[in-house]
Amino acid sequence: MTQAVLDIENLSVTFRRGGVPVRAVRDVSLRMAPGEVVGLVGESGSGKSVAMMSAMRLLDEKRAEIAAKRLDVDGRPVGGLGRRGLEALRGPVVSYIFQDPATALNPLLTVGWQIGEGLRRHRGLSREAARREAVALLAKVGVPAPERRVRQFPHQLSGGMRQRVMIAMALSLAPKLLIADEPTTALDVTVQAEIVRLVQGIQAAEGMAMVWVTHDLALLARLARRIVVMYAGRIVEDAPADRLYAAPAHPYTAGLLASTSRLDVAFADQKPIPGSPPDPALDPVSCAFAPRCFRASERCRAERPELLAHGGRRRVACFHPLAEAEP
Amino acid sequence: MIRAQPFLRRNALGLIGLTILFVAVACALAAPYVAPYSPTSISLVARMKPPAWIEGGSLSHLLGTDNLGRDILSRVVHGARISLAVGFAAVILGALIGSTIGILAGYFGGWIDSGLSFLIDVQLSFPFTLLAIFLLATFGGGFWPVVLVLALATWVNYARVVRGKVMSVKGQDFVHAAQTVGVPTLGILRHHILPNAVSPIIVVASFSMAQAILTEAALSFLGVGVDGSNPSWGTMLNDGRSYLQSAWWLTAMPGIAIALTVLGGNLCGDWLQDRFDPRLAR
Repeated sequence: MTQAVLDIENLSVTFRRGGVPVRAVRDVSLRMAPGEVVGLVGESGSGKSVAMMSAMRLLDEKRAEIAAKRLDVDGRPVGGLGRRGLEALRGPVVSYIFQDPATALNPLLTVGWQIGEGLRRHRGLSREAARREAVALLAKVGVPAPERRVRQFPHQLSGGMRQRVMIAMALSLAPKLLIADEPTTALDVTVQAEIVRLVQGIQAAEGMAMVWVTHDLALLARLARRIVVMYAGRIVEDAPADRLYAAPAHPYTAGLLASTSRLDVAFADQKPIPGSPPDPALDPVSCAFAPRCFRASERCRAERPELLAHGGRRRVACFHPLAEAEP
Repeated sequence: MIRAQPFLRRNALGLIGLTILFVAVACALAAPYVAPYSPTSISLVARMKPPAWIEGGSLSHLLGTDNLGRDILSRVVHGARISLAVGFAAVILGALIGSTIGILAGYFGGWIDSGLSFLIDVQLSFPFTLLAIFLLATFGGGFWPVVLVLALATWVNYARVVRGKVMSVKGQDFVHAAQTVGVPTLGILRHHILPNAVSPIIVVASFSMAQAILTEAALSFLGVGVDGSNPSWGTMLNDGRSYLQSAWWLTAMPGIAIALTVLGGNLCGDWLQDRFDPRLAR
């Protein structure tokens, strides 16, 4: 069996804020094979970003408490890593693309400097060599005139260009796992498609594993082979993309699909999910989605459904799944 | 021409401050060439001459002479050397200590922050002048002891401002982004945190410069400052104290020099603050 690039078992992240613990991620288990592309979907506050950030230990651990039976990236237990271990992990093994490139780049350093920072650190490149490498990376992410751009500061670049710089930075050390945290949310719609196509092309060419975090199911249709849906800190469905779109098993996934904007469905016919996500400070023993669910029964309000296999390659946390289990 | 006027008006106070400081620094650097006499040459025939524009004064001593017949103008010009040297040295030392402590406290937080913040609070609650007099009287005055004491007095200003700035900078995405490619802590501090905290350091340095010059004058006036044959503005004040009634210019001239330099530093500080943080501008 091949070594999983990401292996999370029973991950929980709790934020302590003035005494009331907020459980942002609850009991999440996720295994990814090398080269696999996973789309991680959920509403704001569903814990998708927090789960991914904890895999890189990017959270402020004075406030966030991370507990997991297993939290391995490329076979290394991330939880026990010290400062040096983390530095060695971040970059060559796993890297991260942030949502807003306007804030994710240091305004006082040239983009070339920032792209080359990891290269100088990990590969011991000289400033000049790192700069040449940065030019090559900028060319790869489709920035025109990279020789000139490499010497410019972030404010001299457009939003789309800045996100390309961010991507070049994340790719600089050829990571085995790339986490893209809503990388197109802060961009113009026209630029979004370009960035998606770019990342898709690079992923296909380099074959690294990728997690694309988003709240936009429609976007993932062309990106991911496997989609993981999170609700209130838990994974509620994990399925191959084609099956998930054709026949969602969890009522929440169905609700997400029904509320997604589509050109072939009139706006009036789109059905938003009634109600709103639960308070993350609460810790219900029931299914967290039950109050909003049209299929909820007494059992759903009394007991929590576990995330269980539902046919081959699909996992669902629901007592009354919509789709039949397929082999 | 249309654009020149708003620029001048917007920056008028800052330019005045800069000019004052520039003149002071120029005097200090070129003191032997600017001053008409040696600051220590005694002339008993020309004692207690008033400034040139007063009855009994002469153009050969523009600002008059003191009780030993030394030229006041020359002494004020030479005094700039000590005062400014003390000011600059204290600012640099204070900025180094204060910024380092501020960065450590702001970046690492936790018990490091608690400990350093406690230190800052202790320092702030001390009657500083008293402490300075005590230290200097016990261990002796001189250039470096005075600089050290002044740095001890001003580092808190830097530490507090830098700590706050670092706390806001470290939460920004670009710090995380640098971490995601494995940049070590020292690299983060040096290239991502410090450059973004430089503007408040410069502003505080400008104010602290004025504060240091003023405190040095006060210490010298009290007789625990920079001693030696070269006059500082504070020692001149001290020397002239006994003649306040009969020869006011002995104290007024160095006093004006101190006031102007401090004003220059404060104007520059205000101006820089407005430039760096337009939200605070009136």
